[in-house]
Amino acid sequence: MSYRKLFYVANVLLLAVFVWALVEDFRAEWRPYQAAYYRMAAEAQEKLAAAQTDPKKAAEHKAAARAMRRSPVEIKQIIVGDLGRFDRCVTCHVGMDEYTNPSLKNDFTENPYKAHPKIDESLVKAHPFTKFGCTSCHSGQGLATDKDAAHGWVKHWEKPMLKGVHIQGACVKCHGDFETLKGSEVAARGKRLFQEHGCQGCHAINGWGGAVSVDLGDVADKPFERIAGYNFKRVRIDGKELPNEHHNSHWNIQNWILGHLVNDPAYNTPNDPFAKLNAEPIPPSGMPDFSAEISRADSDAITAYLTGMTKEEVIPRRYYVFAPAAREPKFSQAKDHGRFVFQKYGCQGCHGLEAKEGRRRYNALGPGQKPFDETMTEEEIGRQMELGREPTLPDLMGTYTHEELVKKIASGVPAADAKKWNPKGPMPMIYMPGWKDKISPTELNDLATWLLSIAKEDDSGF
Amino acid sequence: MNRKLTFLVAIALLSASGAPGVRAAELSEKDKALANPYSNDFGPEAVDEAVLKTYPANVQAGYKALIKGCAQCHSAARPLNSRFVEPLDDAALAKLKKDQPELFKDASVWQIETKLWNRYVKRMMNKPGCNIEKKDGKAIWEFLAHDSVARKTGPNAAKWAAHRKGLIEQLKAKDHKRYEELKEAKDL
Repeated sequence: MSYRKLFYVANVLLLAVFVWALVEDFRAEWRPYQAAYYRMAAEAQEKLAAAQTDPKKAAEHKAAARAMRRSPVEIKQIIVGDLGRFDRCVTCHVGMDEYTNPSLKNDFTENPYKAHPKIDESLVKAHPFTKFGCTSCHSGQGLATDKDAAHGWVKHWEKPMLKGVHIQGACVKCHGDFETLKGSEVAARGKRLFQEHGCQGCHAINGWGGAVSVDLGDVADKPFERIAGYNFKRVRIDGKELPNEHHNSHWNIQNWILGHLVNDPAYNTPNDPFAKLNAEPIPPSGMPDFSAEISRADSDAITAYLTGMTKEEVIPRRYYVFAPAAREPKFSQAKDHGRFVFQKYGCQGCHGLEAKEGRRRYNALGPGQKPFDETMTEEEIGRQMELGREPTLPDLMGTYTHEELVKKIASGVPAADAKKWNPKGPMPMIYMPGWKDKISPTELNDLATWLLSIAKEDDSGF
Repeated sequence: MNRKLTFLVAIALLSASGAPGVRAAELSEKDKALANPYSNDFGPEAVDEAVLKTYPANVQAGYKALIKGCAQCHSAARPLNSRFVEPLDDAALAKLKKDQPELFKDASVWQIETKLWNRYVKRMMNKPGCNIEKKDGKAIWEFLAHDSVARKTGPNAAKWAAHRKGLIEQLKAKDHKRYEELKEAKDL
């Protein structure tokens, strides 16, 4: 082919690319939404004009309707340079664009046309869209202009848009004082529940709490690649399996956290207790089953709280609001203070609410277990390993002196001391850490006083 | 040749270290107890027959229950060589304090308290999975309380002290780290 012919062909191809690009742009998903908004807004203004008896006001409505009909269909974006936000959400959600809809109010009830809810509330007023954009609070992919991508429901987008009450996690990530703020009540309740059920006994948050399991200070940053897959397929929300698609609107960190609260985590993460796939047996998730103890609404609240546990600096540190240290209640009785200490350090996470019943410790010894027998079926062995329990403290407390108890809590019980029910099964995962560096001597003394006060009556007969 | 030999030895050592028999996860309970030993664990796992014969029948029955029951989780050496002494009551404790005050000067050899074994036996019985029956628990306690006074105090005190100190020395020599740990915790 001569150079001249090659030149012609290349030009035709280039023209085809331009035409294809124009067609693609014309077919963009956002265009019909924006055009529909202008049409609906114009019709609403025309209706108002028709109903208006004052000719001057009717003229104003008609002018507004004309302006709507003449509005160019275009990409709209909020640029917030210091926060690194370039949010094009208002391209579809035109009712939330304060240039198109200065009042930020309308009567539309469906997305993407409706205005931002609670627009008159201080929480929204304190975060003007022009200064914070959309994704600073809502997450999602601000630059994207098609629905799935913009909401972050696509592969490799790690922060999909937050849904429902989980949005309150956005308050937690910047406001250290979120517990006192209006609008973050659910997240505040989540924090309270997290502590009431003793999660902090095993899971520290930014170093505060037990070191038995992972620190949850950055749990909201857990990469999808770590959670998506076999274990996620076992998660049930409201008793239903999540749609079997990776990186969609359901497979996200919020449902992963929620899945640990509304299901038995050992079901989500069964691992390999019979060493079928690994050289060593690996126990299921050590997290106890809280599904009967924590309601769905409370699980959502805890999820909202933990959604705020991120180390990614969406907002620069200079915007963060730190909370003053909370004042602890005062107690006149050592016993009452001891009960408070038990809850403060999350002892109930393993020993049960009010220390009434030890929680599951897989393949440890537990009440009601049959003696181990190698001829048992694998299913039966699995069931018996499930019956392993942490100590039920009232049963034991009467066998300690105050001094012995203080010493025991201070030094803990090493994981290696665990006695396995099934000698060939996995080592029980959960253990009692030494608390001497975390619980003050006064707290330890009062904790021992309370524990001794709940000892069950000695019925041994000697 | 030397290189080949070194390679083969290395392979053999690696294989041995990965062998199931030596994996920590598969140690027996007794071995596991010995992995974090007390000085008690280096002593004999039985009481001398001649001594045992001098004990009342119910106490001898308690000894049998101990050998069977306590071995579920640790060697019988642990309670038999313990520093714990349980006098019968406060009066017996006061008498011991008066007659043998030296027994109260070294808690690593004699830890003397009323109800001490009573408490410990009940604690062990309340551990999940412990299947010691109440009557056996009572018998074990009766044995331990009687035996502790018989073998560790009175005319046997000096012999016991030598035995107990010998065990502590063994721990010090065999597992110095553990010795220091227990010493710091005042739990030698």
